[in-house]
Amino acid sequence: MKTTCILLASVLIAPLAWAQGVLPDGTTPFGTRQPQPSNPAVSQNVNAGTAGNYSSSTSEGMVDRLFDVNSDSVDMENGSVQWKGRTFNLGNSRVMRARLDRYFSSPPPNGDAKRYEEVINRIEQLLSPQNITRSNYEASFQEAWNLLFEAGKYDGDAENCLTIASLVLKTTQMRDEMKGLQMTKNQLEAVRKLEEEQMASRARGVELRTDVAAEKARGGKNPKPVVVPQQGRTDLGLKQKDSARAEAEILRTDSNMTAMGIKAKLEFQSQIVAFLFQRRFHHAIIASSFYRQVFKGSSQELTVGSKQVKEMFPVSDFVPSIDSVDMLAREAIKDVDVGMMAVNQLYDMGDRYSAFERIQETFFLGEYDPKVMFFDPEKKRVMQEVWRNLRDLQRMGDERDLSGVEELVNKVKAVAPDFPAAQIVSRVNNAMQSSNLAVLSAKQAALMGDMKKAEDQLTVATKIWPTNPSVRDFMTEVVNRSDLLSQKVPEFDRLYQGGKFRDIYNRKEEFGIALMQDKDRSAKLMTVVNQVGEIENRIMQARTLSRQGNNYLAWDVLQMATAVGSDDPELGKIYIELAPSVSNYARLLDSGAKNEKEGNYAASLSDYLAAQDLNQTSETCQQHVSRLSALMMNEVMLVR
Amino acid sequence: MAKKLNPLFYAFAIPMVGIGFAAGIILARNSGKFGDLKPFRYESYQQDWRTLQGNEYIIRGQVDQQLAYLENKGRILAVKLLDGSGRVPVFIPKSIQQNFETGQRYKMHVLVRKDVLYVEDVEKF
Repeated sequence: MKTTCILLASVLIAPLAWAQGVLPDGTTPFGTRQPQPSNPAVSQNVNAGTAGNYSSSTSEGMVDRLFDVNSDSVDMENGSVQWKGRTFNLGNSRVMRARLDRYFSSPPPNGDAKRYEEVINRIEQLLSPQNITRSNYEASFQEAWNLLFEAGKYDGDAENCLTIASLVLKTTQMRDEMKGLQMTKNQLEAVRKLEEEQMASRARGVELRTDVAAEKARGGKNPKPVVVPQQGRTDLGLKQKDSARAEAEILRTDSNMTAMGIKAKLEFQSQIVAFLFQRRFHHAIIASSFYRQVFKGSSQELTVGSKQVKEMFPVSDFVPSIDSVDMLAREAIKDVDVGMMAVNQLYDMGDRYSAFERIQETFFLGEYDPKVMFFDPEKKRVMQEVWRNLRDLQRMGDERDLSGVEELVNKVKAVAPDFPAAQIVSRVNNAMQSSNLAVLSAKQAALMGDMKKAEDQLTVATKIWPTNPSVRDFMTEVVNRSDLLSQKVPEFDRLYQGGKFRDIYNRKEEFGIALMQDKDRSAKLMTVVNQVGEIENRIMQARTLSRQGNNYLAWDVLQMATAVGSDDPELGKIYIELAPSVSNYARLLDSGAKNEKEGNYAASLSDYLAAQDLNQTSETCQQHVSRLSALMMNEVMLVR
Repeated sequence: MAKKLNPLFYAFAIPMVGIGFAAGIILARNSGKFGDLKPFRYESYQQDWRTLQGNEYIIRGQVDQQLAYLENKGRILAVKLLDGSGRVPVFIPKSIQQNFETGQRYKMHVLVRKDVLYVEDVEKF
């Protein structure tokens, strides 16, 4: 049997896929894949309350003596447990969970567990074929029957042994009744025989008298007609009726006996099969042992539930019998024993998560086995703690409440150190990060005015992590946007019309959020941000050049910034700072610009050449010189 | 026995030779093809070229770079002034057939036409 190791908590590390998600391939961006998942879909995103697949490895090494062994598993969705390819229905998932919860939270049944187990074993031993003989049959049978009443006193037995005792008693009484009927039948047979003899005797008398009368009629010279004598004929007729009545009585007795036998057999078999499917394996063994003693060999074939039992044996012409039930029950008990041994061993080694997995599957198979029922209460309490934490983890996974996962995972790990916490935490962190990135992307899109993209990204973020506080904050911002809009729009308009672009630039984030759905204003804001941003870059560049002693080049950079926007106050400030150190250069550039404007290209060119002499590496000057040279060439007139 | 020269002779002659040499240089500079023209004053041009309009000057300069060239018009050169600091743009009409190369020295007869230093004639030196 394979271990799929899927726990309730595994829902958290889905897809995530979630994630990966989702996630992913369904995967949810944070869907987890447990080691060796038997069903990828389930293992990727095991929804709580649906399909928990609890598989066992404890029996993996066991010898499968009969047929192909499929994996043991508990199917929460269908409310059934698969054991060696055989399915036991346990009710729906809610009932299953409730049953497991009740088991963990309830104290063990009252009474001495050891003594109860001894009594049960003793009954089985007394009735086992290797112990019961012709000589000790009566005594063993009686002792076993008496012990049923002792076993029935224990809470853990749920009085099922009393049911068996009652069934055995009923069957025994039926046998006595059958004996009585048999005697009646024998008597009737004797009466019928006597009747027949009397009838024969009377018939012979009538025949004789008839023959004599005929002889007399034929004798002498003058034969006379035969006169048939009537004496004895009435008596013969009555005797015939009596005989027929006796025959009918015998037949009725026969059919009564047959019906009674069939009824008793069916009732007993029904109870045995019921015990098997209720997973009360010890009771199934005891009941079948009694059955074997009570009914003769020809009645060992299973009539009730034969179809269901036959389904457990993938052999086409298999004939289910009481022995088949007995064998199944014994095998199950053995598996439960091994399972509980594994639980105890894993628990003592500190592998409590593995112990929890094993106790789950063992519980669902051997819920009524004394070893399960009387499991150490202290260990059961720890298992319950693991169970509750895992259920909380499962709930968080269902609700995708990722923020509390890590804390809860650590809580589980504190109790069960072998719990695969790192994998879960890693997946959860990835999912949270993906969600946060989506929120960030949504914010950026909103700032750019792309509301469609913002909504899409927000949907992604919420899908991955619905309780993401960033999503909540963003939503709050959106909700408050209408208030912002009423305040910010007039303010923006005033600043824009006043050319106070630097003020708009300094408050670009708040204006961005407020104007995100106002296409025209958003476009204006974008232009302002780009323009002032470029000026800001130029100013920074100029400051750096100035610090390096290149004041003329710094002045050139400021000239470029002026071309973008000349009214920027920050630009004005740095102009004032630099002007004293570049006054001659600035004067030449101004003069050049003025002459150019007046169409005095040669004079302008002369100014720029002079400026270039001061700032020889200036690209600006070079551009002016090239431009003015062309203009001057174009302007100059030839003189003949 | 050779007669010794009077030291006063040296005291008089050496300055005279210097003066003569200087005068020679001055004469050499002002003589030649454009000897009758006044030297171009860069500062005056920069300050207010309008006052120089219509005047003719001689520019002694070194070709710094060719700024523009049009086959049917001529070329504009940036000339570094030898009699002062600074560079000026001068227009050489296509009628002046000469190979101008960077570093060459020329005497240029210029006419101030509006703000353009229009070269009438050149002499390499």
